[in-house]
Amino acid sequence: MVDRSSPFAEPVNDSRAGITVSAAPRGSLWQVACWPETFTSVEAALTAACGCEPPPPGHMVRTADGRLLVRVEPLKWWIMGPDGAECPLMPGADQGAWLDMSHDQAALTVEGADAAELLKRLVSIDLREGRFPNLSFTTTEMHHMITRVLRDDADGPRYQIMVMRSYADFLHEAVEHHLAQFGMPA
Amino acid sequence: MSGYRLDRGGRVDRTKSVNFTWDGTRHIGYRGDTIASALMAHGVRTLGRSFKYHRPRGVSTAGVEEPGALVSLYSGEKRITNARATTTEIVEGLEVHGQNAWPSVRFDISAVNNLMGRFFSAGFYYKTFFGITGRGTWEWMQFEKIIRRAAGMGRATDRPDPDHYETVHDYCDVLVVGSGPAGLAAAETAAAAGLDVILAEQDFEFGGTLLNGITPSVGDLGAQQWLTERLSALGSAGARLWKRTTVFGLYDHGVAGLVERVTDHMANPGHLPRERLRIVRARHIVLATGAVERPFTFGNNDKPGVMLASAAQTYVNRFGVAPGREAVIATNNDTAYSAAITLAEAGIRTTLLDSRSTLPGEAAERAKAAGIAIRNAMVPVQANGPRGIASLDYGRHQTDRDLSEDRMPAEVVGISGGWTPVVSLISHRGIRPVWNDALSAFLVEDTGLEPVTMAGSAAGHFSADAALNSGEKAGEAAVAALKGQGTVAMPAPTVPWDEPLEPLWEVRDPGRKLKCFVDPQNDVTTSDVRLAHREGYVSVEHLKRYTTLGMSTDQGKMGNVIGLALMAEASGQTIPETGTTTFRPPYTPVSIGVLAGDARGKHWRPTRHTPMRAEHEKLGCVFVDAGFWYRSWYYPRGGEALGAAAMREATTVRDNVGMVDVSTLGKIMVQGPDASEFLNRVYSNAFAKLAVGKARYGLMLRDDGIVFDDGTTWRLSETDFFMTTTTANAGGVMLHLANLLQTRWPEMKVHITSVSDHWGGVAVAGPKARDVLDGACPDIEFTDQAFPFMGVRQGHMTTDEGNIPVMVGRLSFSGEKAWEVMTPADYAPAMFRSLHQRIAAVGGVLYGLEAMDCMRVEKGHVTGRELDGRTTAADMGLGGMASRKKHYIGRVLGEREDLVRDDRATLVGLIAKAPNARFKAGSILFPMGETEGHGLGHVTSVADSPQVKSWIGLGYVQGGLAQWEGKTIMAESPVDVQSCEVTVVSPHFFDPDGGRMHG
Repeated sequence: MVDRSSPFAEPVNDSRAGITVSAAPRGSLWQVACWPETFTSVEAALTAACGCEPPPPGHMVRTADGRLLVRVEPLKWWIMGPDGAECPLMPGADQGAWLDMSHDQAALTVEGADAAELLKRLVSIDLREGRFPNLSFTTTEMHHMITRVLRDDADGPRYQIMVMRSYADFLHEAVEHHLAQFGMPA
Repeated sequence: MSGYRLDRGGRVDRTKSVNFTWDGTRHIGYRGDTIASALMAHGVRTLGRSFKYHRPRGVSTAGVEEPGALVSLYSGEKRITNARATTTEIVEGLEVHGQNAWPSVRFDISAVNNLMGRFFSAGFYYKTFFGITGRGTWEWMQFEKIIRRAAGMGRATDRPDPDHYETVHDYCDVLVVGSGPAGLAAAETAAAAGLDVILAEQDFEFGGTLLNGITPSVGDLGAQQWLTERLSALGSAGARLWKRTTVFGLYDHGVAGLVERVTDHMANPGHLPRERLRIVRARHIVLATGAVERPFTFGNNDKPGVMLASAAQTYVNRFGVAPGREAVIATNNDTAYSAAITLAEAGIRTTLLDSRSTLPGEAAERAKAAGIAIRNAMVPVQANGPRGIASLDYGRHQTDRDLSEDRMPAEVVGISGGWTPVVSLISHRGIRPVWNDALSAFLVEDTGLEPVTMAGSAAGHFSADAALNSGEKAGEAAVAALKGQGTVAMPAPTVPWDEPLEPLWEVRDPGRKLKCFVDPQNDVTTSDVRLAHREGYVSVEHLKRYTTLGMSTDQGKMGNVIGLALMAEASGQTIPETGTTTFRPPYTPVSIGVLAGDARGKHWRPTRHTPMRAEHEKLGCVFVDAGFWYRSWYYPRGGEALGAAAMREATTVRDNVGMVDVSTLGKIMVQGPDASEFLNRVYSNAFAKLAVGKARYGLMLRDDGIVFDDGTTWRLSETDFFMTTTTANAGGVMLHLANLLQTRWPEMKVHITSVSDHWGGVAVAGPKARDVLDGACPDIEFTDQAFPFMGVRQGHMTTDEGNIPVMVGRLSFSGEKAWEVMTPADYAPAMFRSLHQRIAAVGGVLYGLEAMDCMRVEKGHVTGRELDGRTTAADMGLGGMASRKKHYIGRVLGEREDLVRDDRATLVGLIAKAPNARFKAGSILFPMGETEGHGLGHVTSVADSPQVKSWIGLGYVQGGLAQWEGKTIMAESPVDVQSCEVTVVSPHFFDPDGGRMHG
């Protein structure tokens, strides 16, 4: 198989005191959907296949194989994982639908103590610790772009900001524009 | 003589010198100085000129209410106008310039206006320039241009702002506005209860009245110690403390607009933005915004040297600057005694005039002990001096008149006419303040449903103890509100003075003609207010608009109440009967730059790139903005211009083969057992029986029967469809489909998902297209039999870099034999490279938007230019696609009488009649000999056609081909008045039977 190309024209790896920005690895993104009357059965089947509990609203759960499962719409889930990971559940049309969207999004990882401070310049959501804790996920808007923000802490706060792939370079430019002030004396 | 630096005192850092220039002359101040304090220390008195009369203006306040000391900063593209000298910190290298004057504010030619002041009364321009020639508004419009040139304050630069700005979104439990004793107490109370607190202070230091000696101590602690302890406690509790941050507006549901001045005080700001717009969403807001001292008016009260008493006190206590050597403090209340004592203790010879007969006992004794001469029942009558004050006429105050008695030397006159609580922010929420007679001020008694609590002097608590108590209560109220603990009773305003304030708005001496300024910025005098009343402007809002009282940068922070009181007096009413003015955002001026934020230049709007952008760039592609998209336009060779390149590309496609990037098409997955029926209802043509492995062109109508969008839909399985939309309408179609599913047919088992960016795609078109693709995809056969027109196949493409999955549809927008090849976007560059090699090997080309557009015009295919929101399927010659055998969106209303008229404008082809003649898209089409009116229709698209070998176009013409085919009409461009004779022909200029794309 051909190596996947980056959605970003330039390499993204900028580290400053308290904040690091990098391109999120190209991974897999599967969408699983159900119908209103099959919600219970599909959710049960999906969480069983993933080996995890159902994700609460606005939050992700980690699957048994380390992927992230989130309910993005009332009847739709996303499963985000490494490149090549298979769809954990492929419901038949009577149960729902499934779809590969692995190439649809571009994401930047923003991590470090000042990560939220940078993101406040891009999105209008409440990123305070109590309001957007680890494994939070939300869909919002950034400069006319549908934007997903998720938090998946590593050694410290770590966020991903996701936009449609075609906006990747604009996202990168916007992040770099705001990042320039970090590490400077306030 | 005038101001000078005191030997000691003040909060400025005397070890840190700061160099700056004033009108080109170098000066040195200290860190912690404002422009006003630094220039005052150098004896500079005139900093500005008034709006209308160009009278000299000096420093009259020490805060944001400053009406006169407005200056320009820097020059060229960095020029900032109307900066308040009283709040702008000096920074190394700062350039300060006088404004609204020539050649300088010290000597201003336009001051001649002052000599004609008696003619420039309120309404002068309107009264004079509407009637000279009897042509009313037209006449005014001519004079207005001249008047506007002569008026104004600073002149803004017309060059791009070199600074950058940003917007930041913040949330908190409690936003406390103001960091005086009340604000600090409120913030500390809320933070101690575990709430998330933001404390915003417009000054460059926290502390409010703790900084200037007005509140010298709190409880047993000195002001500085108490301030330090409070800030430390707040920091420990995690409160965010923002200085240099002005809350300029309050909006719905606890939203506040704040501007943070980030770098104006820095000599080397690096990459920091100049200003930050902070949008704060607070669950509760405490307004501890303080109060502004107000003056009363007397003769020449606008002269440099006249200032608020509290301002004089601030310059001494905070900045270590004496405003003059001979001072008079004139007051109608107790608070000015503190100012007088401050001046006297700084070695300034000070006299105190108190309009009241009875003096406040204790304060008066302290003043006398400080060596101050106190004269009761006395008021200033007129300031004298060529520019600034040199002497002051004063006299005895009586109920209805004041008589001049004597003259005394004076370099500074400090006025205190009472205090005006700052209620602007709560007023933004539509809450009207109420007049309080005891305090002689407007107060907000009830904030209604707003999540706002008033505290400190903004709520009428003027003493330190009362302010502190109200701040603590406000903090408790915030805690109670947010923790569901009921309400907290707020203390009632208290009168803090030993002797009551004596309302005093204007000093009058019947024997003298005094020029008394209510609004020094706009040159509004007490006479103007009375004139406005005589002329019928009895409403406060009308008064404002007629006289300009309270307009411009200070928004009447000092003068509004005086104007209102004078209007009340003239009307024979009380002040509350006369009304209040309504404050609107912003509280203080906000730069346009910070409102724009980073949405400028290349960040003005997002840009989208296809996954093959880098490949296009390597091959010298020229791009064009198309909506948000950055699309490949043409690939010039050897310096070719657009036209020549597009002509070559289109010709090569027709003769050989070409490839174009079609990734920008909207792409939507439609999935589910009802997907087929859903599409059948959405499209005007039949979709129910579309076979798996086939695609169909579809026309989508709006409910009103007008064509909304077109595209193809590929059936990938019984329940999975891949829909493409026009690039421009991708988002709109997605919303349309979602709306239908949510509101019209919620019972349908259909999921729609945008996959526009998951797929990258190219179209390979031309007689040799099959040669290019044959063998590229080992599991797809490209013969006519195996892969007929409108067929769809899924398989793999073999590239030098490996195999990639592809989805291929045999479709044609160019009219040539063509296939659209889609692959997941990350593989698109590899696909592009592979196919480009194959195309180059057979002598083919890459082609861009221009050539693609040319070929579709030759074929008569419609795009967004033809789907202009007014046309029906029949108008476009696609009436056959409007099924009469099924129900679909737009069917019924599409059959309305007006939409099926025979004489509707329908799509035709147009050919320029003369060789080399051209016409433009947008041109109006007229019958020969006519050039007026709406014509027959208009041109939608044009192209220089290599096949027709002429300039051609598409357009809509009333009567269409049936009436006009073969006839000559005129294409008139209304923009540049160009005319061109065109022949009406079929819109299908090339290969009308479609043999090339089917064969």
